Amino acid sequence: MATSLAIPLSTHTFRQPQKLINKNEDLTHFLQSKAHHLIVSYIQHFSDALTPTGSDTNSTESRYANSPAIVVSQPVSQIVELLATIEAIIDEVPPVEGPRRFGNVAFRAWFLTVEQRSPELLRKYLPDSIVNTPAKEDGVSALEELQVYLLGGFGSAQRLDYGTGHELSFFAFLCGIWVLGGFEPGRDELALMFKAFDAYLAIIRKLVLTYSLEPAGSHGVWGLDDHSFLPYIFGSAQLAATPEGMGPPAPGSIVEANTVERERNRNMYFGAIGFIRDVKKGPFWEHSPYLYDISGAIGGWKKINLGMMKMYAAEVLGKFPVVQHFPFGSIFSWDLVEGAKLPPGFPSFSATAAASSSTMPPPTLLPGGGEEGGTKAPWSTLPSDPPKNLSAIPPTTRMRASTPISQSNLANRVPVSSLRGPPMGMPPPSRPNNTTPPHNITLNPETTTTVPVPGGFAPAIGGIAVTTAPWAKPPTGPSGFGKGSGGGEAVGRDPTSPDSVTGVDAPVRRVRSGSVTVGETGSLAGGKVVEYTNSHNQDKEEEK
Amino acid sequence: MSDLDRAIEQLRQCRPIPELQVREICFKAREILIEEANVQIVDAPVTICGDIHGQFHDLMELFRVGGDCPDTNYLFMGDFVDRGFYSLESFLLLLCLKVRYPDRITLIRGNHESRQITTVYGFYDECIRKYGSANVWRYCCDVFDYLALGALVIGAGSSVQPTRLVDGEDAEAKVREAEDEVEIEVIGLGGVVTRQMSRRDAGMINSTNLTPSALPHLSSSGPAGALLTGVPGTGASGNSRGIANANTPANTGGAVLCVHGGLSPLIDSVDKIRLLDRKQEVPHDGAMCDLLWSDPEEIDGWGLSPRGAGFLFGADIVKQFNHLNNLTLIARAHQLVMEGFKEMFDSSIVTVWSAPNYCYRCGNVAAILELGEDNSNSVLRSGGEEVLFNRENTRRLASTYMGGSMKRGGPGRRYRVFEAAAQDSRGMPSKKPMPYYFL
Repeated sequence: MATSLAIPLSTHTFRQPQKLINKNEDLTHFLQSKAHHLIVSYIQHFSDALTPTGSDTNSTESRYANSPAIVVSQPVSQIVELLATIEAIIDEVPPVEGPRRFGNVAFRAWFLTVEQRSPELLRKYLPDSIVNTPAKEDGVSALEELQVYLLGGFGSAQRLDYGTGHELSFFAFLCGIWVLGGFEPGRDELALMFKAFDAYLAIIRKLVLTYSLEPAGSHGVWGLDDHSFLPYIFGSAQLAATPEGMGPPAPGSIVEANTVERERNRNMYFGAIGFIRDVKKGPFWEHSPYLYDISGAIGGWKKINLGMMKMYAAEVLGKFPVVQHFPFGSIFSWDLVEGAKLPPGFPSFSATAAASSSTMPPPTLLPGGGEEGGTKAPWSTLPSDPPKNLSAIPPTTRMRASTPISQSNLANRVPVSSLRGPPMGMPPPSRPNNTTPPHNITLNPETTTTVPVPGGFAPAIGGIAVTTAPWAKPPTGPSGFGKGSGGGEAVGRDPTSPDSVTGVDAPVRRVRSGSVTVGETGSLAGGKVVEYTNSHNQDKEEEK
Repeated sequence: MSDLDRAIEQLRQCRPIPELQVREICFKAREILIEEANVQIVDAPVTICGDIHGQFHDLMELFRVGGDCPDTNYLFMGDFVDRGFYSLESFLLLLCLKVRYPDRITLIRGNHESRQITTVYGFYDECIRKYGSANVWRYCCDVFDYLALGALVIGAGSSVQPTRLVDGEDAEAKVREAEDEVEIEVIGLGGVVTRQMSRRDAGMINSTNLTPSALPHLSSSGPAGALLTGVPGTGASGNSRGIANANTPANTGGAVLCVHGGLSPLIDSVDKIRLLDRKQEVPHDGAMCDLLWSDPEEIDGWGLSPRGAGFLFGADIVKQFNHLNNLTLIARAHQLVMEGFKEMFDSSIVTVWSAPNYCYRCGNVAAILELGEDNSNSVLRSGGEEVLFNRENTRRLASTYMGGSMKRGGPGRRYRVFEAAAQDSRGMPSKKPMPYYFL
């Protein structure tokens, strides 16, 4: 499977990866893209490789991360050394002392150091075949393309946060080397996961603790994990062939401190659980109800592994706020897969038809279809076919994402005040956009950014689990992935501009028991929640 | 015992109430909230609280530290729900208290009191998990639309009654000079007074001080001289301090604007907030959105927020706004602060954070802000009573405003700091509902 995705080094033209997911329609495109296919294929590939082939104890032990049977080849040990070098930089940049609101700004210095050294480090540690591949006339070198994914894997220097989008980027870095022939299929899978990827997770945990990185977009207790996802896929795979899938260790033993301590160094799932136990106080079922509930899964680790795959596809790869930062180049290609189907639940449209057309995909592509999909707010002046050059548009017009509410219905809703008479003798509400801003609004990024930070990042809001708007696009470029381009994209949003409107799109949302119905007042007050993962063939999709 | 009292009792034990009762209480709450102004006027004394985020046991700790409702007046600045395990119990308890004691507790809206945000950040999932349907979530969201956008605290005293120090207390913690009034008092963990600051040295606490030169000159103040009466913070009075004009000193701490996030470039006066049609889902932009989403930051003017909604605003913006609206302080929440509260910009704005050890892991303490009653004899309430002059305060104000180091006549503030509630003695859930992906 994986070998067919290989890229021939000699004839390939590498490109500087770019972010291309700017609105929900783009998300639909992404889900049918070659990049998505590559990512899903490799997650499946590594998960399969980590699953013991037999159901006896010996077989399971062969999939312990510390098993002596794991062969670490030269290319993998080079990656491990690369990561060790990056980890050592943490010691060079101690956290800044003194009062701070939450996140430690020293992380920016660490990030900048890694960014500056990464070209040299990649030359030193990546396989020679890749290092020695020169850039074609109209492209960049392989290293330059890969570097974007490496740097995207260590959190946001601007926001001082880290989340599954960053984890995805690092996974893409390893995948990229793999498809370029840097590793040997059948030999390197276990070592790459257990030695390299696990070392990466260790760096992340150290970064989170050292610099108090907030969980990017954390859902608090209602998410799977504040920072990570892939260790749950790979860790459950490690145990997925035990008899009945029930262990040892049994899934329910994640709440047992001694079992977690025993397993955390040899199983990625327990490693992640162990980190949660390190950083969180309180009853496990209360601060991690999702993991607690899963631990009762009928069907054991195999079922958990499958569920984690589905959940990853929907909650990470299928979520605009997460994947909007993912950049696309020649390895992770934005091109559509021939004959690709959307993950179930997304309304289908012909991928080939869209691929043959040079224009944007049809406007209504979102779950639920109909009115909600891609519907803009009625006051929106956003063109139906937005220009590609998004930095030219005020950020507000670029805010697109899932919302459970049909904004058109909401806006058309009869205001309560008009039903009961104007409250407190107030004049009818005026659109604030019509008012003159009382203060001098600084639109120039140079003046709004008064705190000099490495890489020219805008001053960040630290703070754990700071809420970001789900419809938001980050105001500056370098936050998530890629090189710090200096925050030059920080175009001011002019609240007086008639363009200051937000295109509001339909929700991307999971519902466990039926979709929410329209509120009895007909106001759609309950929001319309769309079910899109309710499928029976998702596994097949992922196995492709 | 009424049904409502029973519901309060049950919620205090962290047990959800039946769906039908939620519906009834939400309906009653809406009837109360619809009568409230966008900027609700609240009389001191009042205790101002920041984000709760479903940390029910810590909310109980808050009441233990700050006094029970209705014995203490409370003002909660939003973000009752999301992220925590007990958003439902926390919000419903506060809502029941609101219905039971509408004049004793004020709830204003945070950016998480929104359909879209609660579907992303947990409250929706929690309702589904606890009730099996989204009905309760929908009832609650309908209440969110009616919550006030802000509150204006009036009648706060310029000093706090110093808490008697326990024996053996460090001398440094005592008021520096006996005749100085205490502007800021911090009561740390265990109820111990950790700091008392007289007005003279106030403003230094836990804050980043900018040069006062950024402050516009006071004599350029708005409608001065005329004895106007009306709701403070409006053009009708031209003065939020509850006094006749800026030249008339009084022993009040001035008006305090409470809002979840912060200011908006579209809002230059408190009156503009009053003009908004608030009864809707929080929009993605515009004034209402900004009030719930913005953050103060060490910048000049306005900046883009990395949150993707609202703005960043600097000291000059706050000082100008406070000056034009005759506010002495803006109290807001919205951002985690390790120490529970943080005063910024020469104490012109304070962040209050009331969720200790946020998300079970942040290691922060929480705080509440108590504004005491004005106990002087020089009050002009909005009703238009006569102003009695007070020589001491004339002197104080004069020296404050004319001195090289401009200190604001802010209200006396007592911060009570508290930690997360003990984690033991919480039972285990009896069943494990299986998330969809794992069925």
